[in-house]
Amino acid sequence: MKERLAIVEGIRSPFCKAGSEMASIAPDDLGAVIVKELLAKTDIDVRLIDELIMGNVGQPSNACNIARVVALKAGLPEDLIAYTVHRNCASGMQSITTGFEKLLAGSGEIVIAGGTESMSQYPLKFGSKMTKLFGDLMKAKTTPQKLSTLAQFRPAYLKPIISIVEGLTDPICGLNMGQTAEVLAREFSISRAEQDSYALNSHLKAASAQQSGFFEDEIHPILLPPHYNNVQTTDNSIRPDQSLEKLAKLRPFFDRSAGTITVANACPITDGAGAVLVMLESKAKALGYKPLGYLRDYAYAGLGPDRMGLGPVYATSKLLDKSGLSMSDFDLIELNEAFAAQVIANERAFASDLFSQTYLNKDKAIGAIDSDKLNVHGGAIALGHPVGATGTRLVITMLKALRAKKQNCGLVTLCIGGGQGAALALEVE
Amino acid sequence: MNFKLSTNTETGVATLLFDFENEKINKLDGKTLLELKEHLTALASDKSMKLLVFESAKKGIFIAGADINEIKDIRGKEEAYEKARFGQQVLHQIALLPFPSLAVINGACVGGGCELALACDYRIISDDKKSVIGLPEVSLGIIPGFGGCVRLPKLIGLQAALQLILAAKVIAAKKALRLKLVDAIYNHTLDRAFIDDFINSLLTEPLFVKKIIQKRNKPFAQKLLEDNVFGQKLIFKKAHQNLLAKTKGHYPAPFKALQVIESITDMSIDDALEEELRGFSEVAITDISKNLIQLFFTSEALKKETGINDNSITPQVMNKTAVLGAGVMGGGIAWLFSNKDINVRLKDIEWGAVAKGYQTANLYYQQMKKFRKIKPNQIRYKMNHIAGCVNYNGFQQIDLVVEAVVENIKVKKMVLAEVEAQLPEHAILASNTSSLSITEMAEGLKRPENMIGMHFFNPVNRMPLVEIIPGEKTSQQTIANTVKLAKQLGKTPIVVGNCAGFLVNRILIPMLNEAALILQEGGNVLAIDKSIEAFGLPMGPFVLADEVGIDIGFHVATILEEAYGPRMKVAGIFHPIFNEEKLLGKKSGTGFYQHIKKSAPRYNKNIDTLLTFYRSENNISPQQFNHEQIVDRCILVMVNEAVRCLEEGIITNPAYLDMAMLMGTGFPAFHGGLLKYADNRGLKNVCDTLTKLSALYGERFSPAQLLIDKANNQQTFYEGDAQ
Repeated sequence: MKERLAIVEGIRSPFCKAGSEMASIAPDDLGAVIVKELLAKTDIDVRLIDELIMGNVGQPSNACNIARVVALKAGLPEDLIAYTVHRNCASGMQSITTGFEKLLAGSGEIVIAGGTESMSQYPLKFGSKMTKLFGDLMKAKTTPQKLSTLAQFRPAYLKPIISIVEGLTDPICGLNMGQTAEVLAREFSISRAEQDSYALNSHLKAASAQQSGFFEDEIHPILLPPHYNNVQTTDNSIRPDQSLEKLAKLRPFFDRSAGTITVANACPITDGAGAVLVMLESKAKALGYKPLGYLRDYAYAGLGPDRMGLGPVYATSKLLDKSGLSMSDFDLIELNEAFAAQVIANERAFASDLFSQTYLNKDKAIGAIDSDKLNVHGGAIALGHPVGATGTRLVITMLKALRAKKQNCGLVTLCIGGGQGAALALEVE
Repeated sequence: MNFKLSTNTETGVATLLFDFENEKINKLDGKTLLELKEHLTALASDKSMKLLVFESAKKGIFIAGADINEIKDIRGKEEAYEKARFGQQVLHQIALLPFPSLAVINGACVGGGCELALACDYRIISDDKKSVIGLPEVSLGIIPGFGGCVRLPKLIGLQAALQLILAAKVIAAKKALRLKLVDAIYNHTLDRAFIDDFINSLLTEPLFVKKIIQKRNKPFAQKLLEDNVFGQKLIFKKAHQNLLAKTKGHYPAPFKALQVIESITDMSIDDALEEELRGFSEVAITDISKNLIQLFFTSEALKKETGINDNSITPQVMNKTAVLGAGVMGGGIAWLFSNKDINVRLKDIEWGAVAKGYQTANLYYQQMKKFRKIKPNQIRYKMNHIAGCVNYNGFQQIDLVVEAVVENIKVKKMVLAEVEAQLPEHAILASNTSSLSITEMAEGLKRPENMIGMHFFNPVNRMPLVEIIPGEKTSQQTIANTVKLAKQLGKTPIVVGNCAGFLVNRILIPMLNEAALILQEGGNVLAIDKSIEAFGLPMGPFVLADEVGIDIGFHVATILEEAYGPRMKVAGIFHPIFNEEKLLGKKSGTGFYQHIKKSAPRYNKNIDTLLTFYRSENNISPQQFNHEQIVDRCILVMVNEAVRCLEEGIITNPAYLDMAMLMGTGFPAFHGGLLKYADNRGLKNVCDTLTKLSALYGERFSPAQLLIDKANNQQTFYEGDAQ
């Protein structure tokens, strides 16, 4: 068996709804604060670190290769290399698995992996016509040329392209992420009531975890620019007072006429960052660290973009084949809550022989998910989903949860926009 | 020989390479000028010559100026006139050469160096960072005397020239090109090729020369204003007003420069040069000039100061720092580290307090942004050097901690012991206390040799001084490291002894207290402030008390009274003002003045009532105090305390003491410092006045023994000491 990846320590920022408290902190700054704190908490000699890998989805144009910017802002030495990875919603996980692969290949011994995202700061853009007009204006030399170029202007050119909307729309199937969840709701006949009830549970579980102080250990508070008058210490989208009545009041958002997905049974768009210090198990032992836990194995899988929400089934199936594990081996499961409908669809698919036979080329279901093991501290519906950082949070939260419950083995899995899934097998001992 | 002459008979180019023997810099002292004169005389009669080029063999320096030591030693007006005339004539000889001349400015080109360049027909400058040019003479209390007052306005226009000369500004290459002070900038890494090309073009392309001359033409708007009598009058009037506002009339040199430039606008070159000499000789012999030159030497000496006498100890670089306590000082110190790209952890006990520290740091950055000293993305980068925290994560790698928690010895000792346990063995513990004993603070520490006082002044972004206070057990290595760090932070560290109030507060607070005593004896807030401001201090004592905070002043004054006894007894009037009325000064809106936002502070009339009550309660019949009495009491009480500091060895170098007071309190530079002021006034006079004051107002004025000794032996504090 190949060596495991030691996840020595992990820290994340609070997750805040886009446009709220953390809206004014840029993703590179946010990532830097977290990485810096990770360095302090682990007291690692920065000269021992080989590379920093960061996941980030909406890469800001003023911090291209945001990982490098984060590394330098966090005070890492100039000779330390850094690059950014992008596998959409799994970018945070990708940073860890890429690190794992590099270490196994012998390119380096210690890596900082993480993810950072400011969905608040996704820009509005000019459309192609306006862009062309600007280009033509630059090229125009004489005044008549300039005037005739300007004359082509139409007010409609000013209509902005909203990056976040564009980013959450699949370019292949043309569906918005919410619409892909509607596809799943129909395929598995998932009612609005089921979804709302799932969403309510997510908030209640998250609220109780927050009250018990479960998240305090993983969250590093963020001082809020531009005035630094406030400090954000907690996730701000959890609603302890959420109720079925409140959920029922909302209108479907993605299919207004006959849909079931509302903004409240979907995850909110969010700002946040997280980072972990990783090295091979043998290295961690040599340095005397007591790691938070280990990554044993992982798998990514592809499927139709319009059914991207089912990514976890595909990826987990692959992971189980690859690792020899079975569903009963997992003490806890984190299945990212992009949409309540999507989680429920996965639950059904995990338990369905027919699904396995039709799509996974297996005789039997890969195994039902025990709902007592699933997302025990709530999920993205309550906590939010900063796409580049969610993977990192899931890993940290899973390991802390396993430790708190004195359990050993966890499955972390998530669906990926564009039609992929990721699944990670984590262990504490 | 400081000049190497090489001539190319083929091209007719003579090059004078300036390479001052056994010095790192080039300067124009008497001997060098004589040497230059001989070269120029010989060259002038050489018919084959077509161009003279001045170059420097020193890296980063063209000519640093005239020899300041020679100026310092000038005593009489005649001597001043003669010395300047000789230099002026030699440089004028360059202008009179029968062929053109070119200055290749490869670095600092300042004062006399700039005047030499101005005497040349053409100037080119390298784009090296060290290449700066200007006439900063007035900062030494003199005016340009080698033709600078005459040639600069002619070359770059009246307004620009006045701005440079009156403000003693040196400017970078790009700005010099914009002002047309130089004809071209060259890439310093490709200097030879450019210089040779330039010379070649000068010699062979008449059009090239014509273009250079044309480029120097003033733009129309400038011409309109500067080339007529009314415009000129307006410019001079405005310049005079600005000078008055800036110097409050305390510094004669810029006024003299202005007067000279104004009087020579229509003169022939010879008359103009003559006028410049007269102006120079008048200011060069003033005490103010000598004082300013002395301060220049002191600051040069301080730059080399390591804080220790042991040469075998090399100071270590400290990259990772932490600040404990995120108040105004803590936040300010964190800003300072971050601005110099040093990582700093800013710890307090809760996040709300940490946020306050971030606000201070951010405020200083926003101020920089306002003056275009920094761009927003740089602020983001630098703010990231600060890591707020409420625990000791990461302290195992810290090299130096600055403690800036409340001024309470118990709290400080507790915090220091707590943090020491978290730090690596080599880490230095620096306390930013303003008055508590470092030795006492180090008691109970495991490594007292690593403990030191590092007293920053508020506001940290503006105050250049840092008092470095070794305790009894502080190691030499710790002192050396801390001094080096303070310099790296762009501050001026001065090592002082561990006594209550250290140096600056120990000398300054008695002045504030004396002002309060005068007040309760019958003085008046506005009159006292006015007198002290007229003496030259940037703020009167009561304005200062309001600015600093009456609570803080009172707190330090109490500590001083405890330490020094009756001579520092806190003035009684502070009791009703601070303890009863709780007036705090600017921060609470009311103190001796009322501070209303966006309007000038107004005298707080309630003080009158408090005074009336206080005087009747204590049976004081109010007396009148004139300006002289106020100044004598306030300033001499400081002089006396300063001498006591020397006596006790709190500081050994009187020049350093003066510089500390200058930087720490804004003591006026034109006086040269407290002790220099005493020297200039005459120690006998100071002693006698103090004795009189002591008979009238109390023992605190009785002159210190060292003062009496010096006065009796007709010595001065600065005598025989080049520093």
